[in-house]
Amino acid sequence: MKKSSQFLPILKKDLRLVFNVKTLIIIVFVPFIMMFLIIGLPTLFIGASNITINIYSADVNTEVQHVNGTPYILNLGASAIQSIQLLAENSSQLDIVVVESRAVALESPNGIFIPANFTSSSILNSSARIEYHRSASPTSIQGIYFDQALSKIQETIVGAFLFLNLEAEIPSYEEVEFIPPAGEPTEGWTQETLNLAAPFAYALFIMIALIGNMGRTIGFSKEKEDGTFETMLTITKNRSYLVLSKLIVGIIASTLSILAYFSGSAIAGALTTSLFGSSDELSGLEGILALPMGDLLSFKGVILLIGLGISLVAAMLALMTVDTIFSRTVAERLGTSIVMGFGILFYFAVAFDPGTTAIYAQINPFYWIYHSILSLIDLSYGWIDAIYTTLFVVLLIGMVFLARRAIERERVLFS
Amino acid sequence: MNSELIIETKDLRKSFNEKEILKGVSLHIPKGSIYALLGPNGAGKTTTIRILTGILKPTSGEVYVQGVDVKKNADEIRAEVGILSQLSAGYKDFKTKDNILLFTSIVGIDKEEATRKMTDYLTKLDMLDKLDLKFGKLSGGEKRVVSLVRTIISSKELIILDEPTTGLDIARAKKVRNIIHQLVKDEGKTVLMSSHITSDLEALATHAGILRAGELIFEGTKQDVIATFAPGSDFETAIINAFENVSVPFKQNEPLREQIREEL
Repeated sequence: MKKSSQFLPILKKDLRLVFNVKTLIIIVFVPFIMMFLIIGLPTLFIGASNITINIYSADVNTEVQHVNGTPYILNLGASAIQSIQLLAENSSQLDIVVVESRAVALESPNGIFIPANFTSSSILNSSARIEYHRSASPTSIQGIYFDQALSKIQETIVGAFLFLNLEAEIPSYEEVEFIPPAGEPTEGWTQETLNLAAPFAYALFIMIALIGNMGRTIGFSKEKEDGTFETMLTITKNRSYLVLSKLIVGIIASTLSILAYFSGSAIAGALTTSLFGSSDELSGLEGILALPMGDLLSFKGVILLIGLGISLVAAMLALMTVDTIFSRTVAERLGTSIVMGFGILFYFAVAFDPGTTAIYAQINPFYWIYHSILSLIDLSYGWIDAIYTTLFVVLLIGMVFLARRAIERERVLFS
Repeated sequence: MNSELIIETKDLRKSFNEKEILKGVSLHIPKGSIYALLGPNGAGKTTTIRILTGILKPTSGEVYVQGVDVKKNADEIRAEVGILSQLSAGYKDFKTKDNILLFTSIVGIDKEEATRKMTDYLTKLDMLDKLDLKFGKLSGGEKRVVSLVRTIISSKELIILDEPTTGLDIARAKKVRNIIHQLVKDEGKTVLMSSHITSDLEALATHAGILRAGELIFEGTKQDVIATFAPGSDFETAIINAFENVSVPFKQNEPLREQIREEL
């Protein structure tokens, strides 16, 4: 028989091994319920607590002209604060405190600072920037309220342009910069890219965490235990099929697991919203979309998804390679430890400073792909990224080679 | 390679971590025979079988199975040889029938033909009623039967059976022996068997190779084994003598080996 005709039955077998009730519970139900109970339900309690946003506006009155030549005195900073206060009046959970200095605003857990040239810059230059500090999680109700407050500032600018009949000059979203005071960025990415970095790192880490626990499900451990691995070795003409089939099934299973994870979070968020009677716009799903996946078909969305996909393949290959080389018991512990260990170290490194160039971050393969992807989005892909990408590709090829070699050699049978 | 031999090895050696497991084994297994590969525990039987089926690569020496140089073209021989390993392998969550049909589909056996043979063999072995039972729910003996049936259906010319009747009750073991006998007699298949169960060997083996500490100390017909190790006695005694007591210089076997070649 042809070598290639063996692949489909092997794939079918691996799909059946994973898609049974027992493993589906582990892959889909557990992440869903984990997010629903552990993350979602506490959101109910957190959601019940208020968020206080401290705002300071240094904006000054500025004379601007209507398109028909009539002069007006505007202070968009003050208007924005009024607009946010109106939002707070309609919500029992949002409190707005106008503070006396930039420092007080930005040193508080959740604060916004509107600079002195806000109106003039907005109207005359069609660009503006504010600074903020947010400790509320983007996926929490408080985080969503904070985002709404930021939106009100944008709405104020748009409203001013409409009032002045200057629709054609309304600044785009990109021209109104919201700057979290993350400190001086150590990376040369734009602020916009840095804003994407944290949610991207978060999504990447969640994915690694979910895959890290799937070693036994997608690896060869169980087959070794059942004795079927040796049988498969005796009848499979091309042993790469064994690895490839597991990899494909693993990607499908991981994707399902990730979707279940986000679904659990989204449903819990939606439930929170409905229970607390908040605005219809507030939902768990909206919280998830605070991640940079809102526009999947955009250049950024596609690149980010590719980054997540490549990382998923790498994490699974790592599990499978360890699983192939070592005995079942060692593999189950070591594979998960390696994947989770690198995942945690990666997230720890970039969570506090998305643009970090610390050595302990640079030796982490997940950082290589993280950095390369963000540089690609930033259109600042340079030689260092080329090195990271090359290292990552070499790592992937190396893992496939090691897994295949381990199958070819006797270690897999005698370990 | 001699065209009348289905397996031939020349000076086969295998080492693990500098420990030599096989020390120059030269096997000659005729087509249409039931060849018993014998030896005490740790003699190197399983390693030999794994090399013959392309799972392991020999450290040195030559291996030909069905005319294929296994060292160079192990891929070609995979899926051609039916092999039953010591462990009754199977997917616990799959039904009995799925455990059989999965492997037959991978080796390219037509589903209809595989189903017909599966029904036939399971009927003969009183297990047709277990067709829809999950493999994990079967007893040890029943698992062995499923593995055996799968191996037989998946095989083309050569079947390698490592302890085929282990865990089977006496009645079922006898039925398995009948099936093996029929496979050789009616279908012209060759069986390489490794077993410690003397009743199997007594009833089935036509030829034998005896391994001791990684060396092939004897190869010949069943009658040759008896004549060499226990003249006038039975096969079981001869095997025990071969394992433990009787030291036979290898060159002493040469006339017998010549005899086999002449017979071929």
